[in-house]
Amino acid sequence: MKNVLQVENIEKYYGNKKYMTKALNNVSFSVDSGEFVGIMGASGSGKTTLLNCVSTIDTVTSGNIYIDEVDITISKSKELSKFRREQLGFIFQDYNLLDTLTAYENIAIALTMIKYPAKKIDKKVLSIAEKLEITDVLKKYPYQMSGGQKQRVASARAMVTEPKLILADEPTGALDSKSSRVLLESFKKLNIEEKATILMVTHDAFTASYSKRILFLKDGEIFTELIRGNDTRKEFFNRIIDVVTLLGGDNNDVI
Amino acid sequence: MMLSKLAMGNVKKSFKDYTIYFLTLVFAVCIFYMFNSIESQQELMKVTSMEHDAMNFLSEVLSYMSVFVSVVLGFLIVYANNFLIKRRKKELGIYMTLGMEKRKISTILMMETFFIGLFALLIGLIAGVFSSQLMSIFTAKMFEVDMTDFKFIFSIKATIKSLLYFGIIFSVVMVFNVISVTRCKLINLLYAENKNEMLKTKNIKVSLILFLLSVVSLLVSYYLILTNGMININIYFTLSLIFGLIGTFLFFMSLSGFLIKFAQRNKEFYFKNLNMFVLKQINSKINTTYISMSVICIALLLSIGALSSGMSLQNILSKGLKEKTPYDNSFFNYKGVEKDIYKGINKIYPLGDKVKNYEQHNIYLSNEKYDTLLSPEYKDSKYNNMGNSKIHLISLTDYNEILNIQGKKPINLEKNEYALTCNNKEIKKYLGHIIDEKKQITISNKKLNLGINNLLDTVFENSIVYSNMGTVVVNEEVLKGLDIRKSTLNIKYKDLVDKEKFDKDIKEIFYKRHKEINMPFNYNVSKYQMYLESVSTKTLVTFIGIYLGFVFLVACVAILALQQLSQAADNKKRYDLLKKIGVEKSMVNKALFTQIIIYFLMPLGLAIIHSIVGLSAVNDIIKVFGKVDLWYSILITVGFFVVIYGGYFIATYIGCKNIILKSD
Repeated sequence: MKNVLQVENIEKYYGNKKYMTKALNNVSFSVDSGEFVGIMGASGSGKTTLLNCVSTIDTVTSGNIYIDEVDITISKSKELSKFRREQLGFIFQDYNLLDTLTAYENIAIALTMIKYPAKKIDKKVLSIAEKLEITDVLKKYPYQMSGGQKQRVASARAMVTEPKLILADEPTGALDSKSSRVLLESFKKLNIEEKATILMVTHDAFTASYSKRILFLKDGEIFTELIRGNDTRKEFFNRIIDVVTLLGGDNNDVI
Repeated sequence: MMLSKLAMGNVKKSFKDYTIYFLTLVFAVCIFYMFNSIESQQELMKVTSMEHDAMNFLSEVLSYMSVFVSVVLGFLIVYANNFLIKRRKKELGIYMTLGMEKRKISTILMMETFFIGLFALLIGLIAGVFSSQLMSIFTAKMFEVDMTDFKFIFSIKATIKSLLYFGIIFSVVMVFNVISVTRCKLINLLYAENKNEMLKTKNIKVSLILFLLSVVSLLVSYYLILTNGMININIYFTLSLIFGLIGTFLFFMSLSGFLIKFAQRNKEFYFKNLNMFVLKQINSKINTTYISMSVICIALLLSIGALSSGMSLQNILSKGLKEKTPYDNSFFNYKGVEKDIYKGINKIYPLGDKVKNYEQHNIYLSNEKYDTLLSPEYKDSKYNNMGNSKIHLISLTDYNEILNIQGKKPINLEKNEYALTCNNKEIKKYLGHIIDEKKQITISNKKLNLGINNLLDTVFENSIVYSNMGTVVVNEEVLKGLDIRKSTLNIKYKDLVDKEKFDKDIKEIFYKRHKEINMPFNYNVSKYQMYLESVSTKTLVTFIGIYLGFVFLVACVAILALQQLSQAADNKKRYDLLKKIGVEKSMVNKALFTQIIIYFLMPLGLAIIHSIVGLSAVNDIIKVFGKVDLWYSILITVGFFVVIYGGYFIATYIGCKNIILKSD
């Protein structure tokens, strides 16, 4: 399997010398192509910082991040923009759809940014919409859609460019349980059928149980790693809960 | 104490955020002061008593205008202030959750308005005092008077007036603030940001139909005004205005929908870069702002009209004047008998020591009518009733006298010959064919041949208009037995004559004796008087034009700028998202630039089209005074617009960019 993401000894500090906060402390891991990896941890454990560093929205204090063998920690801002729009797909907790555009246009804008041929855009959008079962909301504006629909449109936008890596930050955070299930099922489907590589940050054990491997962060360090292997999702879920319990009493918000 | 501290803090903060609002206030006060200080600018000029009267009249008219101007500015300030209050709902909500009474919040807002108003007034007045020194140079040039030595002028009257008018405006703003605070509810204040503006998406088909309707009604309006002109205020004129208004309104209502439909057809364009996003940005806002867009468009039209007609009339009046007044004074007698005007006046009022040289001539009426001279196209022009009047004639001797006093060479005509003279550019077009074809004409049943092979451009007398509308020069014999239409005396003064006193004396004689049978003249046209009148007319028109034009322009562009700036906070979320998903900074900047410039140009574009049509209709009026190139005035108007519109645009773009690109 090809290595898509390689994180080596990254550290991220906030503040000045007197009052320094270590958000990430010597974190290393790697993600192979076609993997579905979850990152779990309590709030303040550094999971969002990690995702921001990987997504090039934030910069690391030290260490290296390679995406597809390119070191993104030394790239310039303009290259990073190019890199972001061509290699990465983003899914945010609060959907982040453009309220002035229809669902169709929200998906298409990701393609227009990479200068995708205008004539082929239609076909591409319709095909991803079909996979995520949002064909019937394509003409609607965000305010006319439910949360689940919005998040699936956002997922479609992230995936339509066929990025090397999809980064999802609490994708189910604002969804009810039914919508979460539908969304996660489609993640699973895209991961298996389209070989999409997904890195998902969540603090919700149910959401995490859809991934194949989970990294647990605690106080900016990797605490442990869980691999699903041949377990059913239910069994995997129970193992996750065990780890969460082990992680400590400060984790009251797991379910 | 606490409250005033809070208020001052807020003022400082809002000064940074709303520099444009503050500068507009300063600008408004400055203009207001400048145009109200004209009276005291006279201290810098050497003026005669008549010029003094003219300037006082001007400042009186401008002070009436100021009432109107202050109403416009009042609307602008109240509107802008409401905008700013809306932006601060959350802040007000926080005060309320902290337990502050509504009355106290109102007090904070009132103090803020007071401070802002005070600063704006102070800085505006200082700017106004300095600019009025510069303006006095312009005023002196307009009145064509000399400047005295420089001294610093300060108009107490204008200062008090500015303080009073703007004081009233700011008081009104305070009242509005208090009302908006007492009416608001805490929940709405706190969640104002989260309240999603419902995007009104109009049916594209409806937009298309509306757009077509707007184009049709604009075309009807243009057609009506162009065929009817601006002189006749009648039902067609009114209809043209109504169609124009409806058309403008519908245009902005449907434009963005139409544009999107149009752009969507062209997929290459629609799906290129951020085009789709920019178009939708504009669409989302114009659905809620089309009313203000229409109002801005019409106000811009007024501004263009005021500025350019102010400029052009000034140009016409000063340009033609020299040509139209070759003598120091002209006296006219319409009694139909040949009379020696000079002798007549000399008896009452000795002219010998005043007049350097003079000339008298009679104009006769032929039995034939102009219809026989003019080429048939004249019937379609505004001179169509000229055909029925009798041809004007002048004797060769009289004509040569005129040429003589103007320092030109005399002409020679054989007994059976005539010459044609005319100084009206419009009518020349209909007489040219006579010269070209060397036409034989009939005057008093005598057939005459053309003796001089060109159309002689001769001014017969002082006049406001180009009064020589075609006169035939003939030998004396032809004139026998014909009626005299008028006789004229033209004089030139000796060098040291007091022109003002001469006019006064003549006026006195006229008032005393104009009913007497042997009164030697019916009226006179003095060059000095005409200059003075034209100077005061042109100054009046120009000053009013610039004053109103400026105020309208600033009001419009300030509203556009404030709308964009207040939307910037909403837009920030969208642009942030674009950056997150990998749009380059330069591309974001470009999209922002495009969005703002389209927003700024939309009302201006339609206003320009309106004004091109309007000005070509007005041009007909201006042509009566003399054909003039409108380019000069249009160029100056464009200059004003580029500076002010462009300045506000750049300031808005930078302001929006700062808000949007600011990382938090």
